[in-house]
Amino acid sequence: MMARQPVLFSRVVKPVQLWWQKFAFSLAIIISLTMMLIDRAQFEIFDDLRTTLTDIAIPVVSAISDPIRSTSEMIADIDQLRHASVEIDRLKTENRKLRETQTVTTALAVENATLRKLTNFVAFPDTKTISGRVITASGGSFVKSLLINIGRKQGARRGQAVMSDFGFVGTIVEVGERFARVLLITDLNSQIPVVIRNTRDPGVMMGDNSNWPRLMFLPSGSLVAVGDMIVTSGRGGVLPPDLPIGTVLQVNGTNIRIASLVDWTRLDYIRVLDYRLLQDILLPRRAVAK
Amino acid sequence: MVPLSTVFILIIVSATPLAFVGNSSVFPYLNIVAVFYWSLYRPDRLPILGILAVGIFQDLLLGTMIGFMPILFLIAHGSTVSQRRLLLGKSFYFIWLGFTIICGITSLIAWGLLSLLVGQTAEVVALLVKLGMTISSFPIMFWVLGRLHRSFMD
Repeated sequence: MMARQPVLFSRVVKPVQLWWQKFAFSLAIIISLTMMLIDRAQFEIFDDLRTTLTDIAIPVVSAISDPIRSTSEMIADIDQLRHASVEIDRLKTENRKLRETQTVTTALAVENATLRKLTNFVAFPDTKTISGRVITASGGSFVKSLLINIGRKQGARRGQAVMSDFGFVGTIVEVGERFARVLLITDLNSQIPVVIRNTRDPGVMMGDNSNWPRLMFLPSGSLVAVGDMIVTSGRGGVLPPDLPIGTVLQVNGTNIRIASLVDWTRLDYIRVLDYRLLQDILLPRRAVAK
Repeated sequence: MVPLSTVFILIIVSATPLAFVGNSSVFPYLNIVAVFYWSLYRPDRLPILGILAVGIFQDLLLGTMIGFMPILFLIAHGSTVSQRRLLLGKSFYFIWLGFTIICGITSLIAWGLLSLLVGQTAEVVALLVKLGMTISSFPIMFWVLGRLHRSFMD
C-alpha cells in the first residue's frame, strides 16, 4: 500500500489536478468573455446588479483610500507652503482686479434684469447645484469616468451635468444610493452638443480618450479660430446651455481639438447641476460604454 | 489572502485621486505588477476565482465593461505561470525583462479588445505612457511586494 500511493498520486491525482488547473483557467476566461457580452447587451437586471455591487463596494473603497488621500493631501500642502508668499502676492493682485470687474458686472446684471423684463424674456429653469467629491478616477487609457459621492439620496439623476471649479467635466450615466458615475467629456463615448460662444455656430464635441476632445459637425463655412470659447448649446434639453467647456486648441483642417478648462490631474471637488428641464426628458438607460 | 489583498488594495490606490501626483493618466497600473509577482512566486495563493473577483471589482470602480479586467489579469497570470521555470531563480533584471514582455502582451490584448468592442482603433499614446510608467514602477513594487512576501508568508 505504501508503495502505491506515489504511483496513484502521479498517475491519477496529479493529472486531474493539472487538468483542473487548466480547466479553471479556460473556464474563467469564458466566464469573463460571457460577462462582457452580457454587459454590452445592457440588460436591465445586469445593470442594476452592477449598481448594487458598486454601492456595496464604496464604503470599503473609502476606508482604504481615505487615509491614502489624507497623506497625499498633506504632502501636497507642505509642497504648496514653499510658494506661499508668492501666492499671496499673486492673489492680492488678482483680488484687486476682480473687485474692479465686480463693479462692472453688478451694473451689467441690473441692466440685464431690466432688459429681460422689458422684452418679456423666457428664462431657462433655475439650476441648483449639489457639491461633492470624487471617490475614484480612472486615469486609465481604457475609459474616462469618475465615481462621485453624490448618490440618489443627495439628488443625483442620470443626465445631470457635472462641473469642476471652472469647466464642464461630464454627465452622470449611472446612479446608486451612495455614488454616481460620471462619463467624462474626454471619453470615447461622450458626445456633447456645443456652440462656439462668439459665433453661435453649433457643433458636436466628441471624446476619443485623449485629453483633447474633437469638435465636429460644424456648419460649412463656419469660421473657427484657436482660442475660441466653446460652451454647451443646451440642445436636446439634457444639459443647460452656456456651460463653459474650453477653448479651441488647434485647427487642422477638420481636425479641431478643444482644450478643456478642467485640470484633469487635480479634479477633486465637483458640482452636480440639478437642471429641472431634465425631468421631462426620457434618457436612454445607460450611455456608458467602455 | 496576502496576494489577493495586495492586488485589491493596489486597485484602490490606482483609482484614488492623489493630490500630489494628480489622478493623472501617467499613474502606473500597480495591480498588474502584483498579479505578476504573486503568479511568479506564489501561484498557489492566487486562485483563479480570486483573480476573477478582484478583476470584476476593478471593472466596477473604473466603469470598464464587466469582464474586461478579469481577462487581462488572467492573461497576465497565465503567461507568468507558464514562464515560471524560465524566470525563477534568475537575476532581477531578467525578471524585469520578463515582466516587460508580459505587461506588453497584456496591454496589446487590452488595446485589441477595446478597439474591437468600440469599433474603432483606441488611443495608443496614452496606453504606451501608462505601460512605460508601469514598467518603471516595477523595481519599487517588486521590493515592496518582496517585503510583504517575506514578512507575512514565509
